[in-house]
Amino acid sequence: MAIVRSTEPHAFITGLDFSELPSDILYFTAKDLEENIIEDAIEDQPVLAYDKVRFYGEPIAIVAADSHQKAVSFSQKVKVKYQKLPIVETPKQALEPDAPLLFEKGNLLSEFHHEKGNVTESFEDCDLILEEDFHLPIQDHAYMEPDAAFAWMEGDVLSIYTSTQNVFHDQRMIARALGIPLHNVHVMAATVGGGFGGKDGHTVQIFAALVAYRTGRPAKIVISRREVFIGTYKRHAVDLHLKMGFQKDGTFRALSSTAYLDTGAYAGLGPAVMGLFSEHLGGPYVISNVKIDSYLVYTDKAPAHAMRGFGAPQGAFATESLINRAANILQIDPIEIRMKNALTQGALGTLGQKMEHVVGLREALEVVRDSDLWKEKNTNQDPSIGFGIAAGYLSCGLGKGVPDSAKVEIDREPNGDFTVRVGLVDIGQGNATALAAIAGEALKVPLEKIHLIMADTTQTFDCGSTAGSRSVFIAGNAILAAVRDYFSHPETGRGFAETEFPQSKTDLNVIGFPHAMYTFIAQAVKLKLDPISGQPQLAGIFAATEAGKVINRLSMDGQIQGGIAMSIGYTLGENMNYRNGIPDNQRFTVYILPTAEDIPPIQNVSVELYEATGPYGAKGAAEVATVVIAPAITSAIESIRDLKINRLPLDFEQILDAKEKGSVC
Amino acid sequence: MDVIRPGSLQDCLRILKTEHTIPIAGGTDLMVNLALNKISPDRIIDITGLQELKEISLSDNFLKIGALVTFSRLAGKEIAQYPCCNALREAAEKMGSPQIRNRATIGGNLVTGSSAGDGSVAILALDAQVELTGLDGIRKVPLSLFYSGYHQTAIHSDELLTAVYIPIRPGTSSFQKVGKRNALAIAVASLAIYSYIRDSHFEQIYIAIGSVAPTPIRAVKTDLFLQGQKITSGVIKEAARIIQDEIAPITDIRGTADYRRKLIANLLADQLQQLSESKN
Repeated sequence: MAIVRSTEPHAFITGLDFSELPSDILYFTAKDLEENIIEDAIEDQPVLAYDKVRFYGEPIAIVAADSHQKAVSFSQKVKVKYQKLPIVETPKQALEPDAPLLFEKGNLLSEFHHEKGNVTESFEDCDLILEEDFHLPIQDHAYMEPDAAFAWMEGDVLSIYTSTQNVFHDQRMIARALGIPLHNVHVMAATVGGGFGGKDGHTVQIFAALVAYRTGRPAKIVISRREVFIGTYKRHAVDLHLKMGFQKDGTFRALSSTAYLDTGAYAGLGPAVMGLFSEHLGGPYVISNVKIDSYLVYTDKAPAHAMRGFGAPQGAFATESLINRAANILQIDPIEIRMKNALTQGALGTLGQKMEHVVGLREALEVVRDSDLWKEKNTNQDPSIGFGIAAGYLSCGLGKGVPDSAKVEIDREPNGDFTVRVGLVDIGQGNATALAAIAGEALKVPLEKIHLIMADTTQTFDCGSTAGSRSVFIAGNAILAAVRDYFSHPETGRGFAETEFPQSKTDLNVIGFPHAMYTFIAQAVKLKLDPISGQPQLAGIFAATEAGKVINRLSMDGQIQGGIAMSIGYTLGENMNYRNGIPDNQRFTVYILPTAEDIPPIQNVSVELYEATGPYGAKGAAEVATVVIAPAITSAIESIRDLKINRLPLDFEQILDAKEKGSVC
Repeated sequence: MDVIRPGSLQDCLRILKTEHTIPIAGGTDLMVNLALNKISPDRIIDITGLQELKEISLSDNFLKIGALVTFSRLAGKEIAQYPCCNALREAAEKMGSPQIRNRATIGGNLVTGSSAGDGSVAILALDAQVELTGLDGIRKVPLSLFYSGYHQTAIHSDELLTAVYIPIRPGTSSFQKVGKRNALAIAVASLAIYSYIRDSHFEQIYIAIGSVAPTPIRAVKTDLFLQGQKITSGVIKEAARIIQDEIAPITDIRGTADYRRKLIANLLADQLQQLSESKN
């Protein structure tokens, strides 16, 4: 199979010509779908564009042949006629009165406004006010496995293996697009080669399903890396203006922000991302006076969607940067200033939401303060070596008002082993290992007696998505409840339970936030600036993480290191740069991911507080490590060079041109 | 597309005479161009079986490096014994990744004609010659005359680059580059210096730079300025100024023209500084 994709970023489709395709080459368009919509929170994205294209690389038609090569070469013979439209390139341009429109309803998809305390007055009382414009780029997930699916018919039943984060959502969207009953669609997750949020929606599932359903023949699709770059979901670019007011003693008194999130051509999970952006913007601190204005805007780019950290890294970059500069100006230690303002259990977060669960930020900061890496800051004599720190948090669970539950069934087999059925996907992070360990511990049997069946719409129950740093927490709790059920009537050989994620008691009349529970981090970096190029060479990272009790230390460290590596890329070089609606970066040659040579030794220490509502005390830990390494790195650079870094990725030329800190000329 | 594996150099050259035929060695550049549909040959000649192109030998004060010698070998001890060839060894160590260094050959690096070719820039500073072999005979071309334009070289379509000859001289050489990351990085700017210092003065100096022009180039004006000079901080400063005037880099996805100019100046200053400290 191959996809005919738009070569225009914004245009009406005025004609589709398949006349050069021989009869043994099949093609499919929007007309072959029962309902041409990708089922999601906001339904604005067609499976296949039919009247209009809104981004370069948007799928228009599917070509199927008896070999991949044939399908690809004939897909290039399909002629699409366009009537070009002017392009919307940035959120601010999108909101101008005479801007071209992606949708008739306008380019503003959603907005969020929140005010707490008295921001205007409190700024007047501040001893120090800092404000800057920040820009955060578009990041690609760069998962190793390109999006892929394999579908076939068995009688009336359409079966499909796919690379996904949520088989039950896939089942619903396939059934709806093809107009077939839900029970006739059987979705299974293949072993997934990374998702990071990018496979928490439609990738290619409906395409493979459509071809198998219409032809009765097995259909396989694997997209190319170029297609991954131009055609799949991304992290939101953000332009924001942030103002923070401080007291002399370091108290964070007021914060106000106006932010524009670039959601690209379609909503995806954009509204939820804007929610978490706004929720996490103020950082894990008590700030009494807060004003947040966030706008989510359409532009002619690939849709932005979920990506590990889900809006939090963008805001944290701005806030942590200003906090580090304030600490420097006020001559307060950057750890002390965070200690002073840190959220604690029971305190109120930026949106007024109560910290209803365990909070270990101060403990994490203490661990960093006592680390060898941070102590070296006081003895370092090399002016080209700098140190930086940042702290952050990330919510666990899907948030206020979103159904967030898991159903698990446990069956005792004749040989005494147990089969545990969990509807979640193991996306490579190792939740299967953690869940099996939880089941084994609760059932008091060794790990090898636990047999997990996961992510199969026929053999497991809907547990929602592997997303929101929720899977170990929610499925772990469901397993524990199912084990209790089993022990209450062991003679049946079966245990079953459904559990729900705790929800915040704060209601902001929006769906998806705030959250009841958060994971906390403090991360410090040591780096050396190369005087020739202005490039930082990362020398070491020390991370302290409070994610409740750790179930598996090895996979925990893997999560933290992976999250940090991902955001090192975000800091040093990753950027989908669009020019005239077409991305510059369509290959790994020019989309600069870090390699092992760029990642320093990373030490993670977990602050193992016990979260009473979690399975064996655990919270979620999947995403939090992506949130703040960028401002820790830029702060280290700002400690040795006289400059402000307000945008990512780093501009090495800006750093090279900056004078050494404290130099006169 | 056919792939042919000739048993001898003569066979190879005969096949090379046919239209739309190109040789492949490591394929680290060629396969990328095939994948991007930049080339569509009818025939590819796999020359990796030609053992005579894999030799490194010394005769008449010239080090002859066969075209099929890989970067992994160039980074190893065979080259390390010649201080004047340090630049080549250092370039080989920094080129690509271990996987690419195991496949990529020096011949391929030269004929690709990339301005950013690490091996090409290093060898250009070493005053080397390339051996071009055709059915009609062998010709040797100084590397400084080999590059004729963006990805263009003096090689004819029926010739094979069979070896490179590097004069073995007193003195040392060095290579440095700046990429966008620490491995698998295409040079944003690179610079190699061969020099021989006698009585604290440059008896001979050749500077080659990459990624600042359509081809790797020699910094002839800077060479001339440094010739006969003693390395002082003033000389380093002046050389860094001259080399910036001498080049006309462009702005592209990897860096601005200004940044490239500064990088070249810094690379030169750093290497001259190291030379002054090593006392040669």
